[in-house]
Amino acid sequence: MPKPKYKDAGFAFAYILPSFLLILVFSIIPIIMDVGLSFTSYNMITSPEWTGLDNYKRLFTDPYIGASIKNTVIFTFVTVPVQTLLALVFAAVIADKFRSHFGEAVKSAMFIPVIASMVLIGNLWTIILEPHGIVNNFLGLFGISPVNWLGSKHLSLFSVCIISIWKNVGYFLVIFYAGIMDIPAELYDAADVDGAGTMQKFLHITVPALSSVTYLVVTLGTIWSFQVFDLVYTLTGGGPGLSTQTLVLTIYNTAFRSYEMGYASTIALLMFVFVLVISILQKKFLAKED
Amino acid sequence: MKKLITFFLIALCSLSFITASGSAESGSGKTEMLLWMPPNGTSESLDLEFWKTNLAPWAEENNVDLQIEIIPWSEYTTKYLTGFASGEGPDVGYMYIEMVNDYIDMGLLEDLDKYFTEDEKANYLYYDKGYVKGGQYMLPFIVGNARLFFFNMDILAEAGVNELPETWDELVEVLQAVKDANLDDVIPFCIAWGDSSIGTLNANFYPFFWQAGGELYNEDGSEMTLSDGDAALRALTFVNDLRFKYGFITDECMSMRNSGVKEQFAAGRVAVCVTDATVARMADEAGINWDFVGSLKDKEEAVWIANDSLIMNAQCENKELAASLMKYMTTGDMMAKYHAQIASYPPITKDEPYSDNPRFQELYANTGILHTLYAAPGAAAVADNLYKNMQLMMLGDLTPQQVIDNTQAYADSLN
Repeated sequence: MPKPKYKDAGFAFAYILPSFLLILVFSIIPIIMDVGLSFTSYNMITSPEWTGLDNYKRLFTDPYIGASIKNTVIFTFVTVPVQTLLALVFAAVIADKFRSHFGEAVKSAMFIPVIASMVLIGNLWTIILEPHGIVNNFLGLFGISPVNWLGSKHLSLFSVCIISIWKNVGYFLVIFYAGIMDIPAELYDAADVDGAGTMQKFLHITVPALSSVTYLVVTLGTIWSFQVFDLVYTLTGGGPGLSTQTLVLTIYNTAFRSYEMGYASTIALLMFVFVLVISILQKKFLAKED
Repeated sequence: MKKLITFFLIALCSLSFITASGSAESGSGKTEMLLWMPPNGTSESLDLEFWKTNLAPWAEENNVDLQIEIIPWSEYTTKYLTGFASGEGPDVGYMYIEMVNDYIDMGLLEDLDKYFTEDEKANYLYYDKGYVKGGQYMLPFIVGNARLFFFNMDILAEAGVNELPETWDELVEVLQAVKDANLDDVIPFCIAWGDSSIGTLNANFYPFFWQAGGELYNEDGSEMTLSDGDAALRALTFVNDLRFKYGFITDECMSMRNSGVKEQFAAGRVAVCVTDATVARMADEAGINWDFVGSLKDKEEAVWIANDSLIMNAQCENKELAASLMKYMTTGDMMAKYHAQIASYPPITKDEPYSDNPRFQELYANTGILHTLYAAPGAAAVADNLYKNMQLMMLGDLTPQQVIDNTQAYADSLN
């Protein structure tokens, strides 16, 4: 194999330079700044003041942090598996039974929530879930008294999870559907010859063949779940109590309501570490299957 | 190492200040000025059109290239903070009172007092409400939209009630009569507990708290005083009792937004509610026979009113011109047009005829009982914590005393 020439290497660097610069400016430098600012008191206007570990100590006494971590983790553990499973099942059903205009229409319809703004979705679901909204009126037909979907501390986070799943399923459905289209038809033909049923083909061909896609979906879903903000901001504002307070909502309120950028940076760094650890774990466990 | 990191951060953060800020001379020889206003009308374009049209003569006369931006409420605080931080903030802007504290502390707002003559000051009805933290940093622009007790008089009549209550005890008597009348599908007392906004406190807490003689902060705003005296406990216990002791506040209210309260009142399902004055128009349109009480009497009379104001950027290069713009925007004629075309509020100057709902005219003239919110450090975070603790109280998880203790502890932890 011929040795690469310096000239070729120069070309290679030139090709990756634009991407590298973008990552440097929009990811690496902000992360470095975030680490630095987490040790300061800073309001964006006056210069940062070094406060050492004060912000980190505050993390342990701030009632919003514990609640935010708990809610964000619950949100992630509920939404990611459910939306992944639903998207996979819907994609498989559409690919298997509805490769028609109807299937395309269903896919398109399910994609609409993906492109709709979170604020719009928040307001829409507020109307749907309100005491005299569609859901409670429907339940009323069966004699069930109105449910306090967003005002109950036991149900509010669950309600937010459902809405988030509803919004995301369409996006992951499209990814799974594209993955299913790439699975060689010969595999299914051979399974048919062997007399495999629909469920067996799904479990032993479709699911294993989509492991790399599933890894992508789970990773994306996890990162999105940790970023949940606008939905909660619009629907509940983090309440009732702290029952739907999430990490990004706490970061936003700390930064833009209390003007404590230093402390907000500390919380953001905490979230960064969480996402990093989870991503590493996901890679470790899902990569085995891959 | 510590100094090096601090230097690095300061250098990075200072980059944003390199850009010029405030007004400047444009290439055409005109002075450039930037005005930021909120969408108080029904849409952003309506506000923009109004200000563009009505400020054009002033801009022409003063040879100003006036840029006007309408900032959506959803990104209001973010836009202001990033705007000021990058030196791209407005010369004249509009802030609500909870915003100003930090901007004053950061030295970003100009004390307006020296730009107004005594005669001009005397013409403003609420000029003194812009005096905060030892300076006239605000020029009250929207004063009103009071939170009031509204009564459906037909429901009250059905319950045998013909007189409006004047005290907390009388309110309980009225609500008890409504409850005892067992009217079909009627909520005796409706206040929003499912709203995501901390502004809900303006109806659910502050009126009761102030009427009980409380103040949330000391005079200079440096200390939260929720636990001082018995006002907070009295107010919270009263609100708590309305739900748990008397059962006047139904489960439905726990997930209701302020907009929902108004809709239900206009739908004729609510006997009494505390909400903003805009419900009057909705009730009129729905043909509801309504009346209102500004303040119930406990230890004092108190009514919450909005106090949103014009502010001047301390970095503005033409402060006299900016002051001139503020005066022009608040002339009686201009405000009369604004209140007629954009948003109906009571007048802010003596030379503007009253055009808001005539039934509230007397209330807004009684300035002694009108209270506004606080300009204090961490006020938004404390209000958020107070509201969330109150939500838990209304769900039966916290006692009124625990609400006070938790909120006071949180406020103390911020200092």
